[in-house]
Amino acid sequence: MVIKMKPESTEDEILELIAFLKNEGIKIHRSESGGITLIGLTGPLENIEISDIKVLNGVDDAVRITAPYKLVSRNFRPEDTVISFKNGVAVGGSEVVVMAGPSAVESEEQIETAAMICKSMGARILRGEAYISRTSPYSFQGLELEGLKIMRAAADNNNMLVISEILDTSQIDDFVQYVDIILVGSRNMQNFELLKALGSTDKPVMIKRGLSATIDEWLMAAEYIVTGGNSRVMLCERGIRTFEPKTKNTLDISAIPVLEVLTHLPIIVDPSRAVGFRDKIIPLARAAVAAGADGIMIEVHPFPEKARIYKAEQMAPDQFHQLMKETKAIALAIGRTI
Amino acid sequence: MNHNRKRKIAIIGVGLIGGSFAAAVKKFTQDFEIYGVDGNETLEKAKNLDYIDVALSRLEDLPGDIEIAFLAAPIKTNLELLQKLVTLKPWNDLLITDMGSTKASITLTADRLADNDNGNWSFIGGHPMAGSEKGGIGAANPFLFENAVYALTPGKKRTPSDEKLALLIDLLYKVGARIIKISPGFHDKLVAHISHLPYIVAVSLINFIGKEEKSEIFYQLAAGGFRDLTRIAQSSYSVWSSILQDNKENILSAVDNLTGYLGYLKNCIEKDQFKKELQFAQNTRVKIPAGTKGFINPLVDIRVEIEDKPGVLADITSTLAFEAINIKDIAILKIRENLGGVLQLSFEDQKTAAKSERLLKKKGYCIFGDPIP
Repeated sequence: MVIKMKPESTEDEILELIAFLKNEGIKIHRSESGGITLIGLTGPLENIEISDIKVLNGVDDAVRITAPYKLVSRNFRPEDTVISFKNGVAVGGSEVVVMAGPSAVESEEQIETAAMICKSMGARILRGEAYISRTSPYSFQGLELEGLKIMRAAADNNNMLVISEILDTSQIDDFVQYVDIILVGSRNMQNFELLKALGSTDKPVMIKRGLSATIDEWLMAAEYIVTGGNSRVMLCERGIRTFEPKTKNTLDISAIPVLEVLTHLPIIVDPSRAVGFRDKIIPLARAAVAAGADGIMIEVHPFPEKARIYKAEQMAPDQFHQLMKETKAIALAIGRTI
Repeated sequence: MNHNRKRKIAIIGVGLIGGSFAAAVKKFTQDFEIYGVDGNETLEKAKNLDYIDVALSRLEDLPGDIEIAFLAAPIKTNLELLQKLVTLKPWNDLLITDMGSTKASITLTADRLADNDNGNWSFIGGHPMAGSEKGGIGAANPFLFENAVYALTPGKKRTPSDEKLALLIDLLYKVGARIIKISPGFHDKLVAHISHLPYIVAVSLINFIGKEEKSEIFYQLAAGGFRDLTRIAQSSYSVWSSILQDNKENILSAVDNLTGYLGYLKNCIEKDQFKKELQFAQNTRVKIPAGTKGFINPLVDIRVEIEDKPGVLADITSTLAFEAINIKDIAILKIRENLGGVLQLSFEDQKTAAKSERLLKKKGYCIFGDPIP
């Protein structure tokens, strides 16, 4: 349930209402939107009647949120969530934010080179996995902590932010220290212990959609983090499993306008992982920006043919440059910037 | 993008590297107008080959809206060109980059110039790891940069704008190069070991044998291995004198280290303990292509016995082409009239090499040894 206070309501009235609700064992999430105070309620709401709330002093309106997710829903917070960072990057604003870099951090030279290339072409956030979740235990598992450290240095040298995937709760301290955005991969979207633990940090988190997850299940995963107290969450569409074998996954472009209505969280699209082949990435990136994505995540490697993992989906820098030119033109056409 | 307006770049020094670069830019993109600066004779050749659009014998005649200037002269000349260039004109966001094989001196020079000059220019050092024993525009070819590692070494002061750097990187990838960013000092130390030291060793081997009393018979018996090992001693002195002077400290220390190690090897042989060192060498060599810090990415070779008759090469290449296998390099090692010889094919990785070997064996070709990285 969300309670909307009148513009002229006093702080005393608000505090009185909050005290009353807390007494009923209800959890309060207070926020401001356009000068109006909103009070989100979660917990045992069965005994609360909308009509009883509406007559209280200072209350303008009260609505029950019927969706299973509450805090991430658009009803709870009508305005877009904008996640701002120290280097001036804001995810969820009018700028379409570009995250780019190799699939995996492979060496200091590789990540430094990738950072220089991606930054020069317009990416603001450096991506790269230091811990890699592989199907085979015998495949390259990543440089681990050392990878996070060299990636941090490469990003700092180029005034970029770092996003990298976490695999386990035991890694949280290191991620909080070295990255700016913690990425929860598809395989971990419903790792609820991990989600709860991330909810108690103050690091922005990006949750990738599970391979076969519905939009509701995905939003519930985000709800886990926000309800833990960490409201800086973004969603990442990276393709879902369908019956089509020609592409690695099927990029669900329709998820973007659907989420736009359901949630206030920023929506990022990862066409590289979705399609799996570099020659198909540019059209999908264009489509993502045109459909209203707040950001795109692109895999770019200085030596794509020598990459240690996912050779086929990492773009060469000149291809990425072309992608940036084309998506920029599309962003401009819909009143945004890249 | 406006496709009518070509962006202007200057290539100063149109020899092997500059000429090849011009040829590659012409071949792989139509977006640039190339201004070549060199002596009249070289320019005429470059113009006739259609490598450059505008030939200039004087630096002063470069237009003020050149976007990138490539310094492709020998190291010492590049230093002079850089100094002259920065104050030559009121530039409009000019990116200057050199193509020389040492990086500390020129990057430091650019930083020093940046302190005393307010011009609208920037600098980044560059070094294409490509070359040939032959120099000059006559040896130029548009594929010189294909799969070549291209080191970029930013300085500390006047680093390029994002837009300009992106333009340079894009162009380098279009001509086939693969960029690696490293610091100028580390670059010079690295090339002292992997490029300059081997040159010294090649010279020392050749001369050492050459100064023996019966050198003629030594040479006649010297087999392929000796020739391969000493091939780079052929390169031109003008290039090397400049390198030896500019990277003296790093080279001297590399030579010292190697001298010390040779003493140790001598000791091992005396004590019949050479096996350990040999094993280390063999293990290390195998590791080079798979190493995460691979600086140069070597190809994997297979060797095929071929008959000396029409259509053999066509049969081999079309067999591989049919399976969409890309041959990265091809060389005929030895051939005798009517008796055939050995063809060396190079592939991107072990897997492709092994697959090619299987396909050719199936067609009845004889393959020598295992794929060699």
